Amino acid sequence: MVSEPLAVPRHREQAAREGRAWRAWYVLRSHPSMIAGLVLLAIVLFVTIFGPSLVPYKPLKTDPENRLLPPSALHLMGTDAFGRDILSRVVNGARLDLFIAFSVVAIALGIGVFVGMFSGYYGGRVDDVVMRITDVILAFPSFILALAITAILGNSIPNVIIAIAIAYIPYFVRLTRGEVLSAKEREYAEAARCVGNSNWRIIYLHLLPNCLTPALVQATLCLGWAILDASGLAFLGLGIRPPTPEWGVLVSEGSRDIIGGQWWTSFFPGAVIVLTAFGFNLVGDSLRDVTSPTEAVQ
Amino acid sequence: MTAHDEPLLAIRSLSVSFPRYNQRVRVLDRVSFSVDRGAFVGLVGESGSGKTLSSLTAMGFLPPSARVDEGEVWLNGQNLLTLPPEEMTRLRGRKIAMIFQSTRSALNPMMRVGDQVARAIRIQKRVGGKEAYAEAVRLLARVGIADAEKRARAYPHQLSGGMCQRVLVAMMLACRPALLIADEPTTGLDVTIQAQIFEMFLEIQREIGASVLLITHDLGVVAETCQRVVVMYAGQIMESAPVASLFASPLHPYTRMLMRSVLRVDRRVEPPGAASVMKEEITYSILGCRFAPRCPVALPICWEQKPDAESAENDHQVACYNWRGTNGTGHSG
Amino acid sequence: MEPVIRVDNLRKAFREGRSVIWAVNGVSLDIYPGEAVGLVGESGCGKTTTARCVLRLVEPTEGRVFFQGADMTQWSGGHLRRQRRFFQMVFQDPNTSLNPRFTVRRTLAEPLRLHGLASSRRATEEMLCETMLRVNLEPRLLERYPHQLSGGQKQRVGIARAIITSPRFIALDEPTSSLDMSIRIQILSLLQRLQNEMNMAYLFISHDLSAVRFLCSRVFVMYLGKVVEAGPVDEIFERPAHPYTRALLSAIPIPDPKLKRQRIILEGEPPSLFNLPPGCGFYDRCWARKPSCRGEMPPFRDIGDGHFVACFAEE
Repeated sequence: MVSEPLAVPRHREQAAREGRAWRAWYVLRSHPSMIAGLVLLAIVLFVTIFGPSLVPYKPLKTDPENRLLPPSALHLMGTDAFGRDILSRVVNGARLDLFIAFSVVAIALGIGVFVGMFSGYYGGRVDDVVMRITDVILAFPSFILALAITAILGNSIPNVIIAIAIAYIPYFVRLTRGEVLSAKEREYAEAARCVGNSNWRIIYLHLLPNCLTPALVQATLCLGWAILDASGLAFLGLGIRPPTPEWGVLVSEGSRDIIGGQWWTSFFPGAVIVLTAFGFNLVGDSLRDVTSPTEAVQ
Repeated sequence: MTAHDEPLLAIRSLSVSFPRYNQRVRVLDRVSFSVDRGAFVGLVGESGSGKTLSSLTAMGFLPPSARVDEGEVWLNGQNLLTLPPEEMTRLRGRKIAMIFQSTRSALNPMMRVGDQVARAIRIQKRVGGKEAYAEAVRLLARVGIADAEKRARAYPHQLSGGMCQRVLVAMMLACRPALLIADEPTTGLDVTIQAQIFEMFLEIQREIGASVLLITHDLGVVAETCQRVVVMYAGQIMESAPVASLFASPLHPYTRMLMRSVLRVDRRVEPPGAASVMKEEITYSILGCRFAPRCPVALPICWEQKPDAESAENDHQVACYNWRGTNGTGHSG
Repeated sequence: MEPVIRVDNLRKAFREGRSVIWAVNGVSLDIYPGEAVGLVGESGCGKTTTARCVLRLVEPTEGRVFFQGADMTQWSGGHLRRQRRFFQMVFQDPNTSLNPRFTVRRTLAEPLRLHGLASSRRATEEMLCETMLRVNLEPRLLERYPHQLSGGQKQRVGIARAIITSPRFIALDEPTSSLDMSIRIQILSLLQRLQNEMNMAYLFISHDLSAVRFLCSRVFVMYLGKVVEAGPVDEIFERPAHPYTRALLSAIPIPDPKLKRQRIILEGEPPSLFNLPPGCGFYDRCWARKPSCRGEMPPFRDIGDGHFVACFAEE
């Protein structure tokens, strides 16, 4: 008794209908958190790219007559102590924060993966030295470390980027090193040597693509963390200073107004920080679930 | 027909499917075979044939995503598929036991092997700890482990693959099951160790009178140890016969192909002709005989409808519409 | 005629904490152009390590390897890399020996590029198609990734990769062990045909003696890092002299239920490589042993017909 329709068609081999795109869609459908995260990020991205041309007010334009107005139809997020439209400032700040986040991750990923692959493949003394250095860096909470480095280097956007990137590099070194330690024992690495590849080609052309996945997942998560760290630093007065519209700066400025009952000046920038970081986190966590070996749906 | 004539294990028309994206793939398709009391039956097939899955179903070890679409597994008058889980747990070890391929992972890495065997003993008999341990050492010696006292204190990772396999056999001896399923028990073991293991296996089987279902892809092992052979391909039963009959005159085109592909150590085998170069891909989506795409004598009906097992002489059954149509290459040598 | 490969007293040590094990302990062999030599033994005998030393994928601790008369062990890194086009390897597990991120095309084109063997895109394309057809693969499979191929197809790609630079010598490390029965003989036939077409020498490493019988003309039997017997395949398989070879051959099941065999069942297991006793390594399991076997390693002696054995027992 045949109970259920089997895979179509009745005879002759079924062509592999399931292309990669179709499979990707199927996987996406089963991870609602990934969809939620992507939606959030899509909104943020849209705002970042198109926002500044859509908002009615200039972010730096002060208007002392309209200071500290609560959210209204004219000012969707209200105005701050200088009469500047908060929505415009938040939207403009998006560009800066995302720029910082992506720069940080690009640097940390680039350096971390390169060093991790090299260290893991060659092992020995070099590996020991690299591991001890990463141990030292990881011993500090990343925020504190970034704080210290920024304090030393001085307040500017590049310095903030460098400071946070330094704190993140060890994660990428560790992740990639872990992958390459097992990848280099695989037969295809040996085969690559056998056909005549030099060590550098083996490491960076053959092994690297197979070792990147955990690092890419971590990169997504780091994008969220970087926003938190950068705005955290700015909130404390380090790195980026007013009047630059950065979300942390906005929260810091707005924090003075809470006492007087004007909650919106710090709430909205804060909420945007949280939502953006959350969006990256959702996507990153879902990516980790999807790419982990136990998720093989085959 | 008395109870003694009934086979010990009878699988009837078993179909199991797995989900694949939004479809279900029928990995086992109306599989039917049986194991008589005291018999040594070989279940032969290549990868993807479903031989392991059939035995896992019999043991009740199907993963949660698998579904039994139809069929029964009869053991001693009970349909194992309808048993509640507690009943099934009671049967395992006592009536039906299984030895897996990856021996080391079948043993608990945190427990000394002597203790593991002792534990198996205590499940079967009400004996105290000391007595069970003594018995365990005795069993370890019985399965050919030299220096059993000392080895009983070892952990699985300290033992070689062959020794781990012997430990599993010792545990099985403690349980004295009526049916033992051995799934490629010597994979990864050296051939000299393999010979030792099978020798020991056959002795034990004769001693406790168990029936054995040996799952393997090695026709040599089948020829030397089994009384009856069941041949599977892509989740379907192709042929089943007494071992001499299968080797002397394989009837199913698939079996014939296998026999021609087997390498031998006692003489140089002829390379197959160009006509026998076959594709490998297995499709589970054919309603009829799944060997049809590769079969040299396939008829149109073969794709549409699965052939029932037909009896040729001598308890030799073949599931093929066209087994009489020779393809010119005849029987195996 | 000069051998393509000559191995001279090869030894390879591995350090495991404080102790040292000699995985390869004085192996000498030679392989002539166009012949297939089998290297057999069970796990731990050192055959795989020997093959890797021959290709210098692993550096030998002692001993020399000569490729067409030149001492390979002395070559610099760069020179070695450039010479690699002449000696290649086919690996055991096709699931792990192909880079999962590379298409078949990329895997096959790489050796051509590395050794400057194709001057133009057109030439590359021709060589790729020609090689694919040689191994019975359709050229359209060039665009596929390994996970889209079957086991047999993947192994053919591995073979294609090895032959595309027209090497003189190929080491084959258990090339059919991971494959199903029905595919095994096809791949072995393919290897045989390629050998004849391209006049290559093979070193065929296997624990599967029936595959060796099919493909090889000479065979070396290894046990615990040493060669214990060597000679023409038919001679060794029909008149094995060393007790280990005899036990090994008798242990292999033959797919013929009518044959009643006298099987030699060995006692015990091979000794650990960490604690190798002096003398012959097979002593503990040997039924023909004599006290002198424990004292010193039996020398490799010629017993006629190209048949060599390292054993004191007179057969």
